[in-house]
Amino acid sequence: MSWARRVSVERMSPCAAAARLREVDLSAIVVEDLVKTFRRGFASTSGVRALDGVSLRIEPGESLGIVGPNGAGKTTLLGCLLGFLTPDSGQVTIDGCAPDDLGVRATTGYLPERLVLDRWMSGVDFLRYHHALALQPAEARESECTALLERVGLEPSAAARRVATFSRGMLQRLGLAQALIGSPRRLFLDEPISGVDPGGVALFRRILSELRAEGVTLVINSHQLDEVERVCSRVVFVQRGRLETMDTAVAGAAHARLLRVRLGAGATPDRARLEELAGAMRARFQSWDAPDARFLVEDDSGATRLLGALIAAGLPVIEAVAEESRLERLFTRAPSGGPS
Amino acid sequence: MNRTLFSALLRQRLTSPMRMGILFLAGSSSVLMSLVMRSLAPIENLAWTLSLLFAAGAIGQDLSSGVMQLTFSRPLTRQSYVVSRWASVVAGAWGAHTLLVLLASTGMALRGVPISQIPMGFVIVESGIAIAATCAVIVGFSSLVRGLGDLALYAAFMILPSIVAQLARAQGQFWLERLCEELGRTVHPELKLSFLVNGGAIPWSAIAGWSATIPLFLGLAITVMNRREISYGDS
Repeated sequence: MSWARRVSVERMSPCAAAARLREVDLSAIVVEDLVKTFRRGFASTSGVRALDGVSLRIEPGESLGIVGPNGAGKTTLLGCLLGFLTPDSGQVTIDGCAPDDLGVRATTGYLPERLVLDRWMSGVDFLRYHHALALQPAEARESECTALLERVGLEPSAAARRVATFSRGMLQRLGLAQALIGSPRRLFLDEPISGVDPGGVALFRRILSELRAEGVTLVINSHQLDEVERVCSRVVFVQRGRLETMDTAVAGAAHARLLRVRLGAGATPDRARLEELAGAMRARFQSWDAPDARFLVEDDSGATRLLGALIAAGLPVIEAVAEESRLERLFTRAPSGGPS
Repeated sequence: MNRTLFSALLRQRLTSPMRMGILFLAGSSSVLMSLVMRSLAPIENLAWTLSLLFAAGAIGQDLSSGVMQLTFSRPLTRQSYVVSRWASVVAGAWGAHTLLVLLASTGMALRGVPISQIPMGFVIVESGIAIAATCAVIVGFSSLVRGLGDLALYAAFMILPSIVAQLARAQGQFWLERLCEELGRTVHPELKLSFLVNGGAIPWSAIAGWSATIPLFLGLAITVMNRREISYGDS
């Protein structure tokens, strides 16, 4: 049996097998003190430091969101995790191997941000092509490609068209289908719902939830903070090439958020009364702009306590909405002052 | 070599309207000229053109389009990628050339030229030799520049050495003249097999030059690709 064939059958590279023998930590994606600088020109000694000592550990089955402003180094980090970029120093290991190890690649799916597909192929031909490149068995090609197209909601008639005629949303669906080829153990998704219609967003969200439930490791780079918050169990903030903040979405609930409370028509609450009620519930009154009052609450339970107190005080609460998501709050409160 | 990459590029080349249009124009005019001249010489000269037609942008177009990110996210070595691209364009160009030789030979036979006088086998083998080397040169250049920049690089390496060689000869700089001639031979190696039937000295220099060109340029492409970082800057 050829080595390439063994990869597809056993789904483990010689490197991973050797790592297992050495009892190296196989399961995690480990990033250690990663530094990456892009030179300005061919002979230039100066450059832009895109990553500046990034260390990170992603556990198997974890869903990690990478967020940060433009130019923060998120895509560079993803490039290093995929083995596309060579760091100046530091290292990335996946299953105890280098990220460009063929065995690692055989069990990794990737959806790039700027999705450029071979435009001359039809959608289904593109999937077949990547199915073959991923060393998947030829006898299962048709059935698996059809199943993947169904999973991402692409009609067979649409998939038979040339990729050049696809809309942005269709391309993104096809891109996700190719990333799912071979049921990868880990998925790197760069702006996965960019350009996708609301129905597509719901579908992507459902697929990502299913993958999480299946124990697939997800690494998602996105500007869509609410989507990251919905899907990811942990979030890292990248800013100026550094991991500025690392938090779990669950723990994110412990961060303050802005709550807008709408009162019924005709309600004219006294500011001092609102301040008093908020203070008693460890919240902070921010403003009154009829019919909305704004409060800063410290967490989910703080919001519940405040709403209970407002209702108990006889105020006609008809709506309560978090104006900033937890991640938005974290984002704008990043230590180095993320973009506001 | 990766068969999937090999067949995908071949299919792309054979379905490209631009390339097929040029192939049709160049091929049909060469076949017609062969029929008029009752010689395969016009088609013989087409080997070089077909090499450029099939090999141009073999790697550079992937670099400029940005498809490499997805390609190299698969379990695929870059050596295998380069060799597959080269083999694919050689197969395309040689296949097209052989088809044209067969067409022209059939036409000549129908026009009464004796089959024994049509050196079909030689033309096919010699063209294969030329196509393999020229495609390796283009693939090597294609790994260095994006899009179809390999054609410009190839043209520069074809034209500049001959100009410099002539200037060097006029100046009496014979070492420079020789250097330029060797450079020209490296990017445009020729190996004629007539010595096999006509006798004469074995052209060891041409054999060595031709057999060095392929590993030299494929080695260049593999080295460049192995060192190349893939980022959005490529697209």
